[in-house]
Amino acid sequence: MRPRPTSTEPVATAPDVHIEVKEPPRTPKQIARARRKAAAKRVWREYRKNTMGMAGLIILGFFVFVAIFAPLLASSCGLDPTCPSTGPQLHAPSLKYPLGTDDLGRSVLTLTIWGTRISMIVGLVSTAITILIGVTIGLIAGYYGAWRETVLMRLTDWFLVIPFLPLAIVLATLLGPSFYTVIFVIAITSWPSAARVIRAQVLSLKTRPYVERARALGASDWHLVTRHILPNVGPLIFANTVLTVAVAILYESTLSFLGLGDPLHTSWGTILENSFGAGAPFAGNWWWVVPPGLAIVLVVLSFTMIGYALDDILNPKLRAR
Amino acid sequence: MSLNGRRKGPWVGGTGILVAAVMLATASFAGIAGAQSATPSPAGKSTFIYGVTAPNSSMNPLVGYLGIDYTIWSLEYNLPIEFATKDFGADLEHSIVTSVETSSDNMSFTYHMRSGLKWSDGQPFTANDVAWTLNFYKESNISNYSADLAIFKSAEATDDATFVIHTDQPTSVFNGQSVWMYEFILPEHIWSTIDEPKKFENVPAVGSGPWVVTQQKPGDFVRLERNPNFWGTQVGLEPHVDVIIEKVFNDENQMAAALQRGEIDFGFFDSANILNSLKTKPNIKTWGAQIPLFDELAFNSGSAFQTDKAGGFVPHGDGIHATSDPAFRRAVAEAIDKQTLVDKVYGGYATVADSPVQPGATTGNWDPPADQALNFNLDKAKADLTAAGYTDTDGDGVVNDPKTGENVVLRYYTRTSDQNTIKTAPFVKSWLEQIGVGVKVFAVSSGKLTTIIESGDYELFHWGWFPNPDPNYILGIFTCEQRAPKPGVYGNNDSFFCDPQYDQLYQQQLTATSTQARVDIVHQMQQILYEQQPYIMLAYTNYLEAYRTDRFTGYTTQPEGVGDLLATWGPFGFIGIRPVTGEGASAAKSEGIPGWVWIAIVVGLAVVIGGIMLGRRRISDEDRV
Amino acid sequence: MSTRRYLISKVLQAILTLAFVLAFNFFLFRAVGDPVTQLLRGHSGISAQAVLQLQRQLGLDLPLPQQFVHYVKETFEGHLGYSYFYNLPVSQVIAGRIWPTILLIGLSTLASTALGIWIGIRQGWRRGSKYDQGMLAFTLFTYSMPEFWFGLLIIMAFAVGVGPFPALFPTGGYETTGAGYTGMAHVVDVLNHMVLPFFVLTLSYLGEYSLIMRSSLLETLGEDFIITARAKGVRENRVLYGHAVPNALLPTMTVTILQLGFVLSGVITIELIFNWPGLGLLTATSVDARDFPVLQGLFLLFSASVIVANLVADLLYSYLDPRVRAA
Repeated sequence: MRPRPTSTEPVATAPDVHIEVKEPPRTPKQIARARRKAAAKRVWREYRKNTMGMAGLIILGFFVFVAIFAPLLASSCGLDPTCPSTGPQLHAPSLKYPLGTDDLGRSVLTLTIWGTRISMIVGLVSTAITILIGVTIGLIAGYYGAWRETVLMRLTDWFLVIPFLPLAIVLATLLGPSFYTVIFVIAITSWPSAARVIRAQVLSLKTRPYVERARALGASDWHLVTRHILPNVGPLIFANTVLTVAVAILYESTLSFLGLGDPLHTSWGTILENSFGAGAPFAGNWWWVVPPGLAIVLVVLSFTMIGYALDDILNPKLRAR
Repeated sequence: MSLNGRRKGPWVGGTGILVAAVMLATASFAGIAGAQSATPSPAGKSTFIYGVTAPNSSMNPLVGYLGIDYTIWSLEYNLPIEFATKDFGADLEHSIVTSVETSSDNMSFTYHMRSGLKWSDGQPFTANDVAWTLNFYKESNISNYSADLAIFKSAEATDDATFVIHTDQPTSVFNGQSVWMYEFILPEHIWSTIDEPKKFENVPAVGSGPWVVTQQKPGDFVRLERNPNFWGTQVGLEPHVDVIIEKVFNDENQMAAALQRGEIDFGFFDSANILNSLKTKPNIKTWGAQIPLFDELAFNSGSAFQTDKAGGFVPHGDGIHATSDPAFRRAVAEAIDKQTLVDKVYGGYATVADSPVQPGATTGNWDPPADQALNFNLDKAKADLTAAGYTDTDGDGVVNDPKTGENVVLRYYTRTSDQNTIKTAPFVKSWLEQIGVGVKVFAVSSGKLTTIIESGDYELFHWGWFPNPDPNYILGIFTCEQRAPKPGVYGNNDSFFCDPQYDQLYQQQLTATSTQARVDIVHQMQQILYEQQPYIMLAYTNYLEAYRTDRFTGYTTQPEGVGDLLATWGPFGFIGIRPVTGEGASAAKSEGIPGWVWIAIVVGLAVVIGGIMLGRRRISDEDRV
Repeated sequence: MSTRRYLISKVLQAILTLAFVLAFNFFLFRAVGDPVTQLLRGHSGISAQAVLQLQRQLGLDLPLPQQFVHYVKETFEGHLGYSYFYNLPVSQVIAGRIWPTILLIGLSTLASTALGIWIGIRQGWRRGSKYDQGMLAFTLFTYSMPEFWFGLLIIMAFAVGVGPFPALFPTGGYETTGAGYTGMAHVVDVLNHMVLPFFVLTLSYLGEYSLIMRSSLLETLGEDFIITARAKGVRENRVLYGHAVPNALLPTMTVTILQLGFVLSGVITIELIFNWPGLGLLTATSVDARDFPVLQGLFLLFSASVIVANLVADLLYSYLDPRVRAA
């Protein structure tokens, strides 16, 4: 089996990155970049062969497109019940309203398109914060070890056992429903698993020969972390990110459904909450319930499939024999 | 050696069927149960089940505060004088009190009771219980009752069937011509022995009404059973139902489904969409009851600018100056299209409102004369705004306050627990922006909004009240001393309205010595509120009700013709209902598939699955060697 | 490390974690503001004296460390405070809700693990087959579904009825209200009400278990002892059930137990939409009512159950897999 690209390849370890080298043009930095580029290319080549991964990527691409171009796809005026484009209330799908209308006469298609934005933003931003906290804690704990590790890992373990949803609910209830609360709550409750994974990886990287060599040559902690450790936990962070987004989007919808989302923003979760509150399930207004839910499933599915495919490629244990 | 991709068919099918089978097996098992549960309740007892959408706050009449709590208490206890079914008037024919005499100074009122009354535990129910309860409420300053007992001094029982109420000032309100006292009379022999009455669960209860609570599971159900000692049979009040169950549904979809399946007989709903859908189902009738219930947009009418110190008031809050100007509030009121809100937000189950005293109130309702009415007219609203000095002086599209020069931007609060408030916001925002008033919408929890209101840090919010039939309480909330005196202290006067003339009238209606004089004063007060618009009254919202027609009948409305079918003021609605008998009566509750069909499905599935699994195992063993 | 020391350290860790949760819970809810103001919300005309009395009663007139001691003591005595909304002791409110949740979670977890493991084994064994791919798509789909959304669809189909098809199952609760069934009839009645939430929960969590079982089996199949067994000519079926599955089951069972704590909280939306009167529904309604004492009690209960589940998983793991102790 070919060794994993991150593990054994020699790495330029010049103690001083300011060395002026005119010819040849390849500085250590450039070599490292080229090497990583090649590694990424290899992963991509394998990824392309993975049907599931590609399917996930295509679905995700579609929703990213919708989120970015929402204003072109549907006028934001359609979110306002006083907008002239609103139609009859609770109208079943028709040519003019392909996914019907809600109880204020707004097109469910418009709502779902704009909901994509909020749901994606919440998913991505909260994941970014999660990863930031997770990486910081994981790095510090893994790199420095000793008492820092003990304290941080104990804290992580504690947060890990606190059940996610009840904590999120309690926090959101205490802080009041808003867009930012949801992001904050998701981030604050989902960092521990990221921290653990990163720490484990850092621990194993720390003892790699090239890292030890760099340290012996007098590289500072900052240099070691930013040049050797972080770039190498990168792929792991990436794989972790992908799955975290999926979870974050699911939790956004759950929190919103429980009435802890921001009722003034249209997300998929708030559309579902509104439809539930307005009796759509009983009255049989399926067009108001199915689209936002299906959108959640598809986006979460796409992230999960991408994460799964990456795991398949990056985790040698799972390779087909 | 590759294990990949060889076999197909039975594997997929097998698992799929197995998954389905396990699900269906449970389903079938339960389906048989469903068929069994079709048998009616044991021992021929008739059980009436009504559904509500939120749990009770308490079974204890000292602490509960929700409408559904009052419904339970009115089945359990008696008021000194009951509300008439017809019009909320005094119904002395069906009350424990039969007549009232007023002293010449209008400060003492002698109540004559029926004799031989008993509590549900067999103890005698006498004037002592009434006097004890009223004094107890007054002394403990129970918030549910303090408004009614404001000028009440004391009560004494002169014999077993007579009690006398003394007041601080001359008044007409205790004269028995209307139901003033919304005080549930408690059994002294139970409540006087309790150390912490406010922590008393009161289940099972001892009461004097037609049914008493025997069991509750908080958030799930409350069970009431017939009181064998109910005195009402003397006066022709004969209940026809043995057991009443209030079933708590936390979601209306489930409640509607339960009504459709016949699991419950009656339901109180919130969603117009569900009610409209129920309307189309067989054996179900729906009803939008007009009861005292309204929604308003309340202004901060000057928490930071008022100087009147009544109630220890200290000016506080950062509400802007414009909303303290009645002219500004009137102009804003003209920019609200109440009819559109009634149609679109309330789904038609509401009527346009103009006074906090509802049309069915015991004092009658005041309507603004045509020439004074503030009708929806954006042009006129804009013109009135300009006339009052609110013009856009800096050209940014938002009018400026003539006094402070600042842009007039209203912080407008909606409540997350009430979808209607959230749905109303975009309409109001759009209208106000058309007349140049800026709006910033927030959605917060009711608790949070209470804090914001106390602090005076708002300009506008959307909330509602559920007043008593007598207007005293709802008019009282506009008096100066009910304002939150400082941040963090609760006050009923959530618009910070304060007008000395109004306060004077409020005292006068309490102490007017004739009922008609009081009605006149109450109307004057309504006129002041309309002219000053501390509240923009949006709508009298209906109580949405639906019931099955095949199991119980005999529903009446209170007030007559338009009002509530069941949660009436007093027990009469429940006393009237009786089981449907003879043809048309449906004993079976379940509409499910008969038991034998389920058994057939289970057996069939078992055979199919068994066959597949056995067959597959054999093949795979051979195949894998 | 000896088995005994291992066990003791695990139990100690669990106790420490519990202590952390207690402290966290205390400060989390103290951070919101004055509990007395919240208690008095909506009650006008309360005297300063009454406020003082209430504060004393809740121990709020003490300095913070003493308050904490007071709180811990009260918690261990089972006093979890007084519900704002129900006006009853929190412990009483919660106690009535435990059994329905245990029943629903217990049965649905049994079903979803059994089915999930069964599917996972077949998938792992035939990696890349049509079956594997089909089931993978299916389980990934159910895994990606918000449970409550699936529940809403199920309600539309089976509790309300679609078109000419009647509503098949009762909803809205735990038993037929007012029917007064006893014995077997009662059991059957409860099961009947449980069908839909059970179905939704089982299907929602099945994916998780099958995915874990699948990858766990894949890892095991790559190990040396499997290759050795095959080289020795052990029959394939025997390789699978005699060697691979027992080893792959271990991590799956651990995850299942860990998951149990989380499922406990995951039923919040399901109980809400099916009106199942358990802890999840209580959580949802307490959120609506902003009933902080009840939420605080529930949070403690949920956390404690996850900690206990963790401990059980750890102990079980060490019992079943001696390597863990050696490590």
